[in-house]
Amino acid sequence: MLIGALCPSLPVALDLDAGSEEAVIRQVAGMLAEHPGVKDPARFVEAVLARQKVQPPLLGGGVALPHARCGAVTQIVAAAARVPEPVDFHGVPVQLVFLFGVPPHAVTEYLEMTAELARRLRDPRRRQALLEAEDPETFRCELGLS
Amino acid sequence: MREPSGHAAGLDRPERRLVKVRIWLSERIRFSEFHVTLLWAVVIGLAGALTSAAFKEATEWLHGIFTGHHGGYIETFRAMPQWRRVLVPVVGGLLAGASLLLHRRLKSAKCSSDYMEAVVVGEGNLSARASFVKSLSAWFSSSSGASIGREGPLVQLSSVVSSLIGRLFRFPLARKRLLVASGAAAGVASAYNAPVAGAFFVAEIVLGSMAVESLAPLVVSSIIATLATREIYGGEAIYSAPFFVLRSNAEVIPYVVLGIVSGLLAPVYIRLLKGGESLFAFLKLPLPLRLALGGLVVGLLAMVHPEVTGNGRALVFAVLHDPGPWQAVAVVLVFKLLATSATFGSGAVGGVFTPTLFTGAATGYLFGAALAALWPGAGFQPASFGLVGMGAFLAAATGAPVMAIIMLFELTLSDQVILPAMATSVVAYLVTRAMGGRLLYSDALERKGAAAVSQHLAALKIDDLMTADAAVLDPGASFGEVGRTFIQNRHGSLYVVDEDRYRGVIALRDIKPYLGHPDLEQLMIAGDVMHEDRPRLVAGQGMNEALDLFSLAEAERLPVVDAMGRYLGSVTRADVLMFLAGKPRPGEA
Repeated sequence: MLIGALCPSLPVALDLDAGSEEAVIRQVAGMLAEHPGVKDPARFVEAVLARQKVQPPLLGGGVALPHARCGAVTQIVAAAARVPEPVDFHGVPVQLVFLFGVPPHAVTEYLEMTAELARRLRDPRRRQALLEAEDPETFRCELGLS
Repeated sequence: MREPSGHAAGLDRPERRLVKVRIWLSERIRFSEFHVTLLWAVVIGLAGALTSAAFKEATEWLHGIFTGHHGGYIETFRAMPQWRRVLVPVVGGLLAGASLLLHRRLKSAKCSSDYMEAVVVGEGNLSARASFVKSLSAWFSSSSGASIGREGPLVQLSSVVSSLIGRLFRFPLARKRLLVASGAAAGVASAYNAPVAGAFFVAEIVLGSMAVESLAPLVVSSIIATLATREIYGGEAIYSAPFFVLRSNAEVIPYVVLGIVSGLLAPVYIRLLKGGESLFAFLKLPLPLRLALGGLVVGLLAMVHPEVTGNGRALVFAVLHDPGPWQAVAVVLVFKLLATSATFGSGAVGGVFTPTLFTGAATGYLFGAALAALWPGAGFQPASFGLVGMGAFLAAATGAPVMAIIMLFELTLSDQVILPAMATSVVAYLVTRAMGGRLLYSDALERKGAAAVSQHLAALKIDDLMTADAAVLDPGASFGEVGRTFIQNRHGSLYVVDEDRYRGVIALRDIKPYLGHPDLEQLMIAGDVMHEDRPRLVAGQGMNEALDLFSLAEAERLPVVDAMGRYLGSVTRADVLMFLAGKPRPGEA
């Protein structure tokens, strides 16, 4: 449900040009810098990077879900990106990145969001469709299909 | 580069099933520390009954060795030659006194050896060795015919078993105290085959509270102790009552008068016991000689009236069923009072419960006999007055009328006696209270300087009730680990601690729909799903403050941190309620 609501306005960057895990995260988080739900973009990106260090959330199949729950965001925010060549995320090759932030009180929404994203991205056909999407709109549509 | 390692750190299928069962149970059964305490009360009730039975058997065996006969005190003493009637209590006194000398050495400042002290003014810690030696002394006294009740050591042994269980499992203070109290209730219940009175004895006299939080464990342990005792010894009433009938409502009036008389005499009885104590203290004899002297007085009295030996149970029975002429009852009453005063005064360990019952029964009987002599046509039954007088005297002497009424019913299993017993017991209690008379058990506590310790207890802080939980999570713990920890713990919340810093709490109800989700096990960690803003207790906070916070948080358990934010442990709402329910009343010992 949350993904369905977020998808129409989800910022998507296809063919992101970044060579490292941190560069990918900074660029994708940067796509949310102007989002009204992000009150402190710098703090938000630091929170995501700090969370990556504890245990990078990797789904397998080249998908990473960097995320953080922090006071720098006032509502659930998300952005997606695709890199042309796999980038090393803690030793795992990643091509699809879905980054999201959750405000501190939204524990159950956080779980719901993560569980839903994981369920959708577990499907190899959907992953393939996302890798082959030619424009952000197609990408959003593929992701939004329940 | 590699692929993520699948579900290595996650939950396997049986574990997921367990998570589902755990959630199903948590949604249907609210299992708090209070319920756990009730389960422990079952264990304690059983342990109390078994230790009581062991003590009774051991006493009968030693009594057989001392007297050369088996049977009740009166028969065995009657069967002995005069010299042996004197020698047995003297030897018993010497051995009991020697044991008390050892007890004095074993007594520690940290652990009490008195169950009332441990519950009311202490922290529920009873010294096992000191209690055992104290019971050994009671064993010598009881077996050699000292005029003292056996309930003291029975209660002592049951309480010490509870205290040991409490310490072994590191229960927080409130639960430890309440379980020692439950042990005491089990001891009384098994001594008198009286489950309700056992619970009320401790609630009224020791805890001074009838709150459900404290009464329920007492009732549970009393019931279990009684059931176990009945399994061993059978379930008959200890004093099967004579036929009792209240023929008219007007008949309650003489019983009320008996209540007044009992209320006036109870303080005299207590003064007599204290007088004996002062007299022996004045003699300044070493303990073995002091108790031997007490034994000598009993022995000399037993030369004339062997009825004075033992706790007086047979005498109560005789007064209720076949008392003989009133003059004989009066003489035995005087002799028995002297013997009890000498035994109690010499410092023998035991109880005065049964001697008190006899004094009440004999007083009631004599009162009834006087009425029958004054109004021969009125049909007064002296034995009925003996029965009711027993409860009235007990109510006045112990200051526990509810327990006395219930005890009378449970001892006699006569429902007819309830109405006059209630009226007489309450009147007797009120008269004694109005006279400002001292009570049997409050005195024992006052002597130990309980008031000062009681203030210390009232000033205890929240950290005194704290349990140091082993089950805390690191912020980086995987979601699978969070699930596993919930399976292994019955709490509905888990604390997240980073090194020693408290970080937050994970609520089972937040995460339960996702616990079986395989993908989340590698995507989420404990730190993601914890709440950092929930209330926490700070070491040093008072009990009332803590209770307010519990109400505000609507939580069953709260974490305790120090001023630096370091995690110290947790406190349950049940423990705070149990503590407040069993807390000494202001101004009372």
